[in-house]
Amino acid sequence: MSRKKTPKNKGGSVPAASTLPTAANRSRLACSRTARPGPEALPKGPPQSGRPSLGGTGDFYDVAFKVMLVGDSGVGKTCLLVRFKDGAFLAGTFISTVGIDFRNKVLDVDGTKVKLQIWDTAGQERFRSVTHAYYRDAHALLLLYDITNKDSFDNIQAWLTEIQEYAQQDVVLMLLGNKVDSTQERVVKREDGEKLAKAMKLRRLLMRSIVIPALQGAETAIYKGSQRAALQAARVCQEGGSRGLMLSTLNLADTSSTLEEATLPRSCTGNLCPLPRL
Amino acid sequence: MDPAERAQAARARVPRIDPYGFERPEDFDYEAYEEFFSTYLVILTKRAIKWSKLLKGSGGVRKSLTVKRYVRKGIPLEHRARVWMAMSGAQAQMDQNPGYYRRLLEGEGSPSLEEAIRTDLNRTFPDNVRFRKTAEPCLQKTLYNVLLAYGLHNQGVGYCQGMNFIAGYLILITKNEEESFWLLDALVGRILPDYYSPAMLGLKTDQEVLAELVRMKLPAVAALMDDHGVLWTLLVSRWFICLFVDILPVETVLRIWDCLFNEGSKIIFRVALTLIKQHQEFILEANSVPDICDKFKQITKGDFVTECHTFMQKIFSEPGSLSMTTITRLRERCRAALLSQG
Repeated sequence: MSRKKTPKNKGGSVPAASTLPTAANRSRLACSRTARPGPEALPKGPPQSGRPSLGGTGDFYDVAFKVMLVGDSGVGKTCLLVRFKDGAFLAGTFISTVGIDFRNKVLDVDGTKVKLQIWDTAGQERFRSVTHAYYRDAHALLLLYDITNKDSFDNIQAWLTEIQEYAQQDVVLMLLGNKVDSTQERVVKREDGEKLAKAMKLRRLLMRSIVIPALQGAETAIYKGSQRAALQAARVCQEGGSRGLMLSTLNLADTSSTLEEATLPRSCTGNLCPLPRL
Repeated sequence: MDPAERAQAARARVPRIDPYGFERPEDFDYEAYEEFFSTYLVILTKRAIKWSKLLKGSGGVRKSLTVKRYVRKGIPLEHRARVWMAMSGAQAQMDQNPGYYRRLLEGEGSPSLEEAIRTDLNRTFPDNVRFRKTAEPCLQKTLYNVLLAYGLHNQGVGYCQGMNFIAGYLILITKNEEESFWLLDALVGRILPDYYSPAMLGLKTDQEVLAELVRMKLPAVAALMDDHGVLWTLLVSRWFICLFVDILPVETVLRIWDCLFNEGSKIIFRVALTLIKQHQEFILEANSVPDICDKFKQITKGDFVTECHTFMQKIFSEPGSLSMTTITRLRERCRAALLSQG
């Protein structure tokens, strides 16, 4: 049986990439601040020099976070991921995600190289039993719904139940209303999204709002929208710790962005594991 | 001619859309493909003559050692639908249940099933011209009907993502809605052990069986997985669920399916083990989880899998003996272990 084992730390004081931080080894991760080659360097890529890369996709990073995209089938998880990773938007080129997959991207967050390992999952309910094993060591979960699909919004509650059961207590959770630019009729009002976030607040959530200025140009906005969402997740992952729960709202240009709102509640458990301070 | 010119010339000769309607990917190696196809064409021609004789003689396809040998060497495209139908028992089912397929579609619907299928219509083979919304006839409607009828027929399974890709291939090969339905029934209902029902127990079991087989036959790879705590589901769930559709080249998938319909689900293990064994050294170079995942994606690409005829010979020699008794025993053990874990 290939049961999941506790990842071994083979590389001395610096964890190997397989040991993406879990609550238990986050403190160790803090030691890996020195820029070093990410072990997942693309085999075909050019050899990297011994200093941090300047681009957004380099192999060097200061800190790594695992982010998972979850939500009903067809809400646009893969699309969000591809836009974020490659900036590409090619309507009608996506295929249904079967199982689970991930991509890496290194972002510059306020001068720090943050590697996000973003996991894309199949949305269909029966795949949850395959995917929820991966919730456990996720730092952030991006929970998506489609604003043109009421069911996908109604099912958020079921997703939250799943998350509560399988994810870490202090996981960063972000709610995203997707497909604002869809030609289909909107059925989930923006207020409903806000309301849901507030309902979470009733369960002792502390919230904060960040407004990102409207972005220019449709393509850019879509790309930046997904980028902002991931950046935001990365930022909250870093801020983490004693700050407790957070909610931030991404306000993007209404007409040109698929990302409507991003709410970031953070569960308040009282004994939060401190995340690496940067 | 310099290499660039040769590549250019090959690109000009090989159609941009393959015989099944798929657009060749951006990075398609036209030159390598042309070279492979020139030798494969000779094999195809030879096989076509042999098959014509075989089918003319008996009037039907019955399971026999000769048929098994023939199938392993590839069923010609013009006979593929008919032979799949005969070998899998789909033809017999269709003959015994006249009008059943139509009645399913005319009967009471299921809104949630319909919605689940509709979500995937645009997301099934966007790279195939026959599945485009603008295609005439558009296979999206055919796909919808087949999946809907199947979901209504087998309510314990309903619709599971991945079945869209399988049904899509069946439609491309049979060009017939009802035959696609009965072939899907043969695969999901009889050939594959419970991959698609909500608990996906058969799928999880077979992933564990593969893990055990790797442990027995390729211990170094198994050790690598253990060291990094990789779950096999991360690497191979799509191999099982999609039966290699969209993972291996189309022609190779069809050759695998030829054997799948005749010999059953253990072929999947043969393919998986061959891919892993062939690239064992390459896989062992990995030193992280993302690295391992990346390598498992790379081993499904390149000449080794494109050259389908050689590949099919390899799957019967490389993994060594793989008896149904072993598979059955491992399935029972892994299934029991999964159930006890809850």
